[in-house]
Amino acid sequence: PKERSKKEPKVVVERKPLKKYKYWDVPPVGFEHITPVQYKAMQASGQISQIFTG
Amino acid sequence: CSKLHNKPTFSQTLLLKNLYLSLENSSQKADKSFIADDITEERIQEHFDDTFEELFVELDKKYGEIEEMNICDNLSEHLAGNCYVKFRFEEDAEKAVADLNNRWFDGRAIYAELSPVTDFHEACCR
Repeated sequence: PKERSKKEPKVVVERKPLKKYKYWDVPPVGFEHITPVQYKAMQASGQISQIFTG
Repeated sequence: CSKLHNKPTFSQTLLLKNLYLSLENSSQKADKSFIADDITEERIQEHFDDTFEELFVELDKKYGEIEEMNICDNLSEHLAGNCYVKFRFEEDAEKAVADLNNRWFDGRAIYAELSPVTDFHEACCR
């Protein structure tokens, strides 16, 4: 009969505690309720400024 | 950029346009604020390092293995803060483009596209 392989004690990989991101997913102030896509459409139409045009 | 760039359909390299805004360059911010006295070289470097690290960690974790990443730190308008990320696999770059165009970074919308650049040492704007 098949024996269940004895489970090795799980090796816990030492990891640096995840730092909370400072920059990811931070919307521009005042535009928290629209999506980035909507925001870019507004930039494209000139309703809000765009720092660089690329 | 006024120069004609062909946008490839497939590429390992992802371009995030004007993503990094150096503190040094922040006088160009929309609020017209000028460079504050307390912005020192160290703070600029720290800000750059933090930005680089956050980008790398999240992109690598969420979209796939990164081979190389560069952030342009120059002030030339059409290159300023451009971030080039070369993934190991084209599919990962493609996934990343689609998703990143729906995300914010540091108070700005991300402009993501694929880039034909694969060798950063040879890269120049044509």
